[in-house]
Amino acid sequence: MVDSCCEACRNSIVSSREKALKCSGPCAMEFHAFCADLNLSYWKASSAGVGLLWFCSKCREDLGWKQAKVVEGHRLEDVQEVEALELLPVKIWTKVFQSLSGCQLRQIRLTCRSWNRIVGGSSSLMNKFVLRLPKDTIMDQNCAEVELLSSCKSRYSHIILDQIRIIQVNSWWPLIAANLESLSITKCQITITTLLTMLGSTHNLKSLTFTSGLFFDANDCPTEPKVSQCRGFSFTAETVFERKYSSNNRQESCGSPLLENLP
Amino acid sequence: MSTIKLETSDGVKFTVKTQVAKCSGTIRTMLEDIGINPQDGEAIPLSNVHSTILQKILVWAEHHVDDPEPPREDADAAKRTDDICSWDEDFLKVDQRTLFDVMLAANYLDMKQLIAVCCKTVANMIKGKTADQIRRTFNIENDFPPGEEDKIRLRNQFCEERSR
Repeated sequence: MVDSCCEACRNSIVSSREKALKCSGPCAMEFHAFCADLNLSYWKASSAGVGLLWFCSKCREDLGWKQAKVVEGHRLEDVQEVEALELLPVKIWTKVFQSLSGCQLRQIRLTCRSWNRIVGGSSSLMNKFVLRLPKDTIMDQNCAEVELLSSCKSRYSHIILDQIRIIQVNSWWPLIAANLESLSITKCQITITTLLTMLGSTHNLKSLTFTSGLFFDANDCPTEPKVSQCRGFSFTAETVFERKYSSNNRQESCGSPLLENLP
Repeated sequence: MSTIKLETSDGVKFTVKTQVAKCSGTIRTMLEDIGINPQDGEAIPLSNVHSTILQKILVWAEHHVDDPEPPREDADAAKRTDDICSWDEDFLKVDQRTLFDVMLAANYLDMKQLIAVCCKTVANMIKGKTADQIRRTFNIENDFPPGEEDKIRLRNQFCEERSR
């Protein structure tokens, strides 16, 4: 069935099997896509009814537009898939990973270095996890867990230290503490000096749970605890020494549950 | 009806309804804040976007042009991936390269809803797969130095999923 004539070649246009489109300019004539020098993608786009308009060269001239350069609209074949992955910004990947479960995120971390970095570097993703060290770990120089945490740049948000002997914190704690939102220390063997050292770098801590079994030395307070943002606070110890500590930190504790109210 | 022209990286010019073009935060900003006059016949150059991809994106924008303003991004909505409408699902049944190109362009054009639905689609491609299967799916090279994978596996063991 002949519908109309192509303005360029003057031949008929069979719309059922020939690609054609109408000029949106003043002439309003129909053209074969081929005659109008349109590539397939441009033709599809223009005829997809998405509001795209096409103008024939005469109308374009009449309207004063310079000839649009139409390049064959196919993607470059030499671009590798991997490149597309790398092109996507971290922000987008973080968004993709956001809808994954913690279990799935573990697999993401094992996929490649950059994905491991993306997950570990995102507070919102690490927020899905709680770091819990194995019971009876002794956190000292020779400890494998210490080694593991010292070499890790992940932004942990939550940590549970349960029944652990905490001897040294210099190498692993500062890396972790700054991003920490909740900290739970239960039945750990820890000195008050160590505890205060730990709390000295927890700027973003919102919840602290401390239940102590053993508590030794209580001499110098090395740093002031940074717990001013802390809202949830539970502190139970069988023995707490050193009055100096609470008086030192009167202002520090403002706005948060007061340390000096503790038993 | 007011239209504007967009010129892609490969020099193709698209004439688009202004309303549709404004699905892009980038273009909306150009028009409203920078004050490019759509009447003067100048095309807005989208030098990061290829015509094949822009064409696809415009189809999406046209379909969603009347969508209500999305509610403030909340964490729960971001977590779900089973709420992709069937039109979008069909729309995104494309090869990976195209999907990533659409995401890149949507990011450049600042189209939050399109990005969100693409992200969910990619998340669905990841779900239920092991690291090895994920690498195969996306053609990712395992670039860990020797020993590093074991370390991550150990760290993973210490990471419990947080119950809320």
